Amino acid sequence: MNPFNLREAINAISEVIINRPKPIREFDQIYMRAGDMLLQTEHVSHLFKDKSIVFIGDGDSICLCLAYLHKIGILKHGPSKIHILDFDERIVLSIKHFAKKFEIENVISSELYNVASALPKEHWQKFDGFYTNPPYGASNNGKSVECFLKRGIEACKGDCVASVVIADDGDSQWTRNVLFNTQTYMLSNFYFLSQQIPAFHSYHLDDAPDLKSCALSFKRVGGKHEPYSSIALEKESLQSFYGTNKPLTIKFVKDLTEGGTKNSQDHQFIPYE
Amino acid sequence: MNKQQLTDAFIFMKVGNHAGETFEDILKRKKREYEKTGMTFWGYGGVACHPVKQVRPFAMSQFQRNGNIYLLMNTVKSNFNQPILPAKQYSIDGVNWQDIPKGINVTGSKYALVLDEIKPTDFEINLDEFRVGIGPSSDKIASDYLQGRTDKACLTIDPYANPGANTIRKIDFAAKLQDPYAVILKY
Repeated sequence: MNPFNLREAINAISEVIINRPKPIREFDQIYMRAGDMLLQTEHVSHLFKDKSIVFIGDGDSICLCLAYLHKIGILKHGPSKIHILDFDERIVLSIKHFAKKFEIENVISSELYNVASALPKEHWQKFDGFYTNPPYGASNNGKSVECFLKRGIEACKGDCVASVVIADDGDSQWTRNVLFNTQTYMLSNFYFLSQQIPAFHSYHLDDAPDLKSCALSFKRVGGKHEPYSSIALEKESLQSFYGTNKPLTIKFVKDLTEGGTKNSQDHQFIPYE
Repeated sequence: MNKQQLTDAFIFMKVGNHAGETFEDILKRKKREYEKTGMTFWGYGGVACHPVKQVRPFAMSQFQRNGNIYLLMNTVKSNFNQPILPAKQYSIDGVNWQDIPKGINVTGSKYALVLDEIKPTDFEINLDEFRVGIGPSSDKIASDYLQGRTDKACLTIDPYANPGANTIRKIDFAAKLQDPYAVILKY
């Protein structure tokens, strides 16, 4: 790891954290702890050096950490371009807002997209790598993870790279199953595991505060150009998207504040009598 | 209900006074609600047992397997005393909302289990013989999971349990869950 000024680095992460919308637990939007965000950002900055990267969902805002910490010189390396696909308009707009405020719009962009839909044609085999920290698939052996990986794979070209964050808890059988299935899926798509940092991150997850995730880095061999063939998930897949009897029923989350231009509706002022 | 009727999966919950009412008063009110409407809403909150992510899929799976799913209540001392505010609507998915049925009063809670009649019981369970059955804490031994402020869980029996400890909890009341099992509340 490169040395950096700890105060400056944490304060930069703090700027990103304060910009994020509140997580919605229904969709497994569970935020990584601040120190782990910093370490994860530094870690992937090497893998993604000078590459164009697509994020398949990014509630944590690692994308902003990468772009911002690189811009202000805390990180030596960073991606040349970042594009974020997320189904939550609050996240999409908060990224745009941050990018404008900190003048990184030339590096980072965001777009509303749900992985259940076919990948937009303009992103087919376009990027040098992808990043995803998907719903962990505790109830379906990682099937939900595969949906996110599939879109990342579709969006990348040539000998690309990937950074995947999934649950990693030695005491828990389901995390082992998901880790095994994830690596098998990636290998079957010609991505080999180039690095694994076990139990690297923790989360603001009251339900399972000790749950850790690992950082998996993959590299692809022999990536060839293929004609566009992305298709939407079938109805049966939506029915068990998050596990048995746990369907995906929501296409998008709409931001009622229109990117912060309207007041939040989650509080009320009570004046003195 | 007795211990012989206990299936291999259930929802466990510590219960007590709530929203300015004693537990006895809550039970009386729930009894009246059941007599009027054929169902009761049992309000709860906190981070465990999310209705959409955990209770409904867990209950549906168990119902398909066993034909029923029970809530087992373990009474504890509780000083929870929030202002009473009755919920106006409920939803099974957070998208479509319906009015709370006339005669049902559920207060001071984010979520509710939908129950049949709540009946007194008199048996004990050993939490070391069960594991969490759904969610990110799946597979955790129930006695390890139900620590501190964690007061409820969807549990399944561990057929390979060889408990070194006995974490015995008395089950004072039980109720069958009714479709739709668990709901989100709006005020």
